[in-house]
Amino acid sequence: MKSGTRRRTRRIHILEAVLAAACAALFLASVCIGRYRIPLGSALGVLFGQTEGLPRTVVSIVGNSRIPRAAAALLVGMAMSAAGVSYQSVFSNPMAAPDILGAASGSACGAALGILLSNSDPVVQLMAFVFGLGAVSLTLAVSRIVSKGKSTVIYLILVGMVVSALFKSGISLVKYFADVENTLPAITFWLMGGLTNVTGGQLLFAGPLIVACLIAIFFMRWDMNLLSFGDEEAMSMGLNVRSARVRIILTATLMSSAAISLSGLIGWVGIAAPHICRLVIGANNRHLLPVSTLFGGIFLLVIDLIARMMLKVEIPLGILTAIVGAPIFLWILFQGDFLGGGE
Amino acid sequence: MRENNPARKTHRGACAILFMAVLLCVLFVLSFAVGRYRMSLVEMWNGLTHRYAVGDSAYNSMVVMIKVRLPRILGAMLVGGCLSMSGAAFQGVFGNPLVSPDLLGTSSGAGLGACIAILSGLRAFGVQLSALAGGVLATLVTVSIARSLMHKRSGLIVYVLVGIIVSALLEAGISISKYISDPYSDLEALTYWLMGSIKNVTMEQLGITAIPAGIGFLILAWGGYRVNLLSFSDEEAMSMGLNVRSFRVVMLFGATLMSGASVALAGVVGWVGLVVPHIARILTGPDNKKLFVVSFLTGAAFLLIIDNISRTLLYFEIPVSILTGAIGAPVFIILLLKGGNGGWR
Repeated sequence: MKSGTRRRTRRIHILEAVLAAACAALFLASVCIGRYRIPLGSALGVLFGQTEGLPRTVVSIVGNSRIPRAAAALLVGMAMSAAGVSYQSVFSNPMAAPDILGAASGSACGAALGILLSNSDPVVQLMAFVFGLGAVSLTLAVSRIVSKGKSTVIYLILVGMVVSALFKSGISLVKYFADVENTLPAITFWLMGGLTNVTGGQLLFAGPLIVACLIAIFFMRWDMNLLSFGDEEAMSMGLNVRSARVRIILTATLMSSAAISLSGLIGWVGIAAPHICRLVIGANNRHLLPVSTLFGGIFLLVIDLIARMMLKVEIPLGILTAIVGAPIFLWILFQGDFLGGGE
Repeated sequence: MRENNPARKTHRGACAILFMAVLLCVLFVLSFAVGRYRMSLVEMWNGLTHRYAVGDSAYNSMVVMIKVRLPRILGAMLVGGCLSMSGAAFQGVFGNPLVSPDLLGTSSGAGLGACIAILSGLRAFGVQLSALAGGVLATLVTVSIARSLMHKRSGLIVYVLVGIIVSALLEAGISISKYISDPYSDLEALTYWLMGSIKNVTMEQLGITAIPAGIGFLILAWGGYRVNLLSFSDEEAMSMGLNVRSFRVVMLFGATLMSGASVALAGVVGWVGLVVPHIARILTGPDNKKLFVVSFLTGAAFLLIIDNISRTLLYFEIPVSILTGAIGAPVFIILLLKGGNGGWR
């Protein structure tokens, strides 16, 4: 028995190592591949600060455009996927994800308002977080009241749809008052979701935040496992259920709102990536969290590469993640049996 | 005791229908007087009774009323009524107060249909037809995927999940069409169409839309009281002589015709189909037979009021869907939080 578990653990560790290596490789590929090809050597050179002897254009492209973009894709993918896993375990609900709970449209509404009021990154970031948190709390509170205490998947989803619609109305209102010349295009393109305009400055602000949240959530995966037993059992195992839940929700929301303020609305990563990983390695959060975090990063790096390379023009990222993510999710619905756990 | 008296309940439903019908008539008349172009009652009367000479003030008010305001007022009533009745039907069929007509992807499908028509150079009538077809088609796809999943699990959740997925894909399609459209002509048409507006409704369009809307109305009115049976379990409903599965599909088809027609006419107007049935349910109680009709009347009155506000509140026109969101969302949340069952069950 014990050796079997250990063997499985070792296999998962190998999987994690492979995924981490794939992440690094894809990151490098994403820096090198593009309309202007860059040799691997010079990419590595810029990455580690050895810029002597390299042409100026290469240094500028890699430093100002490719690296921020690849880093943003990696971070956003990781953050969305990790947030998805956390929400799913806290609510013991397979459909919980930043998009479903309204966190995504809440953050988007906040960020749009932030862009309207002042275009400084910290303000946008803060508004995105506050609104995202507000949306999640609203969804939770209303669904709890409507379902009269029973925690049911269906009410969470439906209330989430309503709350999303509410914040989307907010977005149209903001758009309506926005200045047609510069604010409105900024909001519109940002909402479509994309990493084209990510700058080093934005990354310096949102990046550390995402990394900090990822580290924090990484240490909470045991709590997540306990929470999935149900409140009473978790309490009897010595967990302060309430504070653990609040802690995890806060961290996950902070993470996803930071990601959204960086990239705009990019859906389906938080729901498709964790489910694929769960099919492969099972529901133990100890492994599921790191594996789906890495997988989310890989997923978005690949999607971003496709978005840049497939057509002559760039395809907005949000469109591609929906086209890829939604059918994957449908396929999981056909495969998996979690519908049985539903209502 | 009083609530349990069936005679009284019928009474209550009939009263609600009468009340809403009278209210709607009053609003209908008043709406002609509301707007940027002010006219006196005398002018209006003279205009309507043909006591005018070409070019005088009574003539002007006649033109404003018949050519400008009448199509718009009728459009608001048709769209509001269709959305609400369809929402009531969706809520009744699925037995859940949080369901809206968008659940199965109707509005995203209609949106994509309209986008394709606009991109291929069609205008007005073609766009409308294509939107209606898109809406009905999207619903068909959702329902058939959901049904093929039914061997695993039945119930609302399958419809909801499949609806989310189908809508997401269709919306990706809409984004793509926005992305590839010519920014100088098509993009503008697309954006304004999707925003939803009753501003440019013509009598012709109204006539075309009224056909599917009317068919949907008849189907729902026919099925109204049978929907009550759905609140029993499927077996019980079947034992009362109802073919539950095909009945559901027929009702969904009728509801989709109505909401699809309204999207085809006015673009995507949110919240009406979700909120108004709740208000109507407070008036009538849970009997779907009356609820459907009252929902239609209430929705027509609701959107008429909203449209009047959007015409007059500010110097420029406020898009209707922004107003329905700003008014509908808080109302909805209050209704939910008020607890109670709002006449549900």
